[in-house]
Amino acid sequence: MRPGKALAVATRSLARRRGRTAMLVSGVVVGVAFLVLLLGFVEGMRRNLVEKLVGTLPVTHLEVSTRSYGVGALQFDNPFADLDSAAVARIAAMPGVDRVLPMAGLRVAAQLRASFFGRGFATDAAVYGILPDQLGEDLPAGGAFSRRLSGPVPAVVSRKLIDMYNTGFAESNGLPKLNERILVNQDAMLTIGSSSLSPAAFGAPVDHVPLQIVGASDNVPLACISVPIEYVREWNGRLRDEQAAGAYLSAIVVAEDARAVESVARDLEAAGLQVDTGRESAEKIGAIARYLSLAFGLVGVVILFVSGLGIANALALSVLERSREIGVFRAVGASRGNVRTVFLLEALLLGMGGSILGIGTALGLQEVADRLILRSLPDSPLIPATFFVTTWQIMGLALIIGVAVSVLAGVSPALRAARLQPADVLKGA
Amino acid sequence: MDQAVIVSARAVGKRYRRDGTAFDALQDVSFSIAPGTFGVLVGRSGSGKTTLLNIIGGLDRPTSGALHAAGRDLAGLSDGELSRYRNEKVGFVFQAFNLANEDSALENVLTPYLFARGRHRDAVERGRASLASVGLSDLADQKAGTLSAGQRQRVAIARAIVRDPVLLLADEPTGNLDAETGSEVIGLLKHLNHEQHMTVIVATHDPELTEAAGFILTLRDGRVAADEAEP
Ligand SMILES: Nc1ncnc2c1ncn2[C@@H]1O[C@H](COP(=O)(O)OP(=O)(O)OP(=O)(O)O)[C@@H](O)[C@H]1O
Ligand SMILES: [Mg+2]
Repeated sequence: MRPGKALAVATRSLARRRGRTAMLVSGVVVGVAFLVLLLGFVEGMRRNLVEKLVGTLPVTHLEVSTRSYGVGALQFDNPFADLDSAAVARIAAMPGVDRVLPMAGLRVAAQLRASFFGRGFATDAAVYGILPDQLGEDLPAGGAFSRRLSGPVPAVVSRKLIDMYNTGFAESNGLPKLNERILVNQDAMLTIGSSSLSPAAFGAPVDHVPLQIVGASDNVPLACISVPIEYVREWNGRLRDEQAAGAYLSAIVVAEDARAVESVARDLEAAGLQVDTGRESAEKIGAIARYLSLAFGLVGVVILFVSGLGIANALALSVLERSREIGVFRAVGASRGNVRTVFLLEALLLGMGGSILGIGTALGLQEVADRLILRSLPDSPLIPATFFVTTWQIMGLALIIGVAVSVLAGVSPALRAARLQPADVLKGA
Repeated sequence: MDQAVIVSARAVGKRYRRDGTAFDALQDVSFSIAPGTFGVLVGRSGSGKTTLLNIIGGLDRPTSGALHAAGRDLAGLSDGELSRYRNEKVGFVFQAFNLANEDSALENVLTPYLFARGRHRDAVERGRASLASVGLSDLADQKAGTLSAGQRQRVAIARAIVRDPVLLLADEPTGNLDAETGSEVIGLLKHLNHEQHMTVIVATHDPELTEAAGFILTLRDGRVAADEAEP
């Protein structure tokens, strides 16, 4: 039997039973769409988090923070329970350590208001206090990044954040692109003690502080505004308490050279500190993404498996229903092999049609989901333009799995159809 | 093998197992038929007519004995070879027509070509000629389900002869037709036998048919009735 003729028989039989064909196809569509949605989401997460959010520190730099041991007495036994000036001094005295750059986090909510290109916008903001040293080469000339007696607070933003704004947010919202020259000397207003997500309680103190962007750097935390550390300590003291004023959020420990990094990291960990290198967190997130894609992929495969069972069932039913037709085929010259081929081909066509439609459905749903999610989130350059990245590999994989599942589901019905005795099925009036 | 014989059965038997006990649908059936014969299989219901016709047509296999047809030893053929024999040498006509009602008359007639070599265009030409020879040229594109019973059986006959078989096997072809339409169909079969020198074998209850038959085989409980058994 020529492939063209087998194809003609298979397509004709599928076209003759539209309802059943639609039902079978939709089973594949659901399974494949799920697979693509899940894999696309995981891949999107991997791209958005690993490739964008995770900064890579220079090799001589380690970021340390206190291990969270929970609460209570235990913390008193740990000399680094609070990363304060004394702790920073102790770290600085460790062998192999060149210097320590503590970072303070603003412990109260904050919101930033600014206007670019005549368009005002407000965003909840995380505020970090850093030493000018941390900016390295990016330190603005003329000592602009230090505590001032009066006037606006100097602030630095992450260069990567500008990139992300330009490639994602600005593009998808049709906004003009930013660059450092436009940003520098930009004035903004920082509200401390209140934000859109956590508004100030009644009677709680709120401050309004004018801010001036003085530069951009690769060496500051990505998702926040960095200001000279004295401001943050002062705000924490004023709006929280004395203890908050003295505590650091984390510190960057700079080793004397690359060879010393490992031993410094060991010493810091032995001292009870949490040590992060950029590579480690990237690996951690990568591993999580891999686990998630595996888990989600399995869910998709389970769904496909279930729809595979549905297909197998429906095809088996269709073999019964069509037994007389099969008998006629055999009587006019079809071999067992021909019958098998036709049924397998039908399963293959169902699988291909369903998979292609399923991939299309998933892409459509991703678009819709993106819009819904983005609408419900505040405008922010941190939020990616899309949450799904569906690569050709994902589509190919989904197509292969979708086709394989339905062909496998077709094997048993096809064999059953081929085994039918024509003399039996043609019997009777 | 004898040139003047198109079908020869030697001690053909068909045994079914039902609930552990053996049942012989055919037993020790021997006969031979010359090419161009109009043959008739008669016998009561359950006597084995359909079983024998299916074995002659290669749609079923005997469990004992030998059957030669159109120069082939059917027992020695693989499933593929037997299928090709059905496709090229045999045409089946059934009591229940067995047409695809959703398909046109022509599509039904062309079914054997799905499993044959050859170009589609030639097949369509043959299909139209075949429909013409049963007097249905005008209804080629009509859905089979919309035709009358007599027309449907004609379409079935056109399908059976579209590949120019040497054997035309009809199993109670008039069973679902009224008397008049039935005799028209029988007339058509006789015509095909006479004009196109096809060997026709009809299984029937109809005693009328035996009159014009060149060969009559009477089955009784799966055996050739004693008065006709070959010496
Ligand atoms: N697949 C089968 N399994 C068991 N017994 C069968 C099978 N097929 C046929 N038989 C039996 O074989 C015998 C002959 O059946 P067959 O259909 O050949 O008779 P028939 O002469 O064509 O009868 P009818 O005139 O009613 O069509 C019957 O008793 C039938 O029950
Ligand atoms: Mg019968």
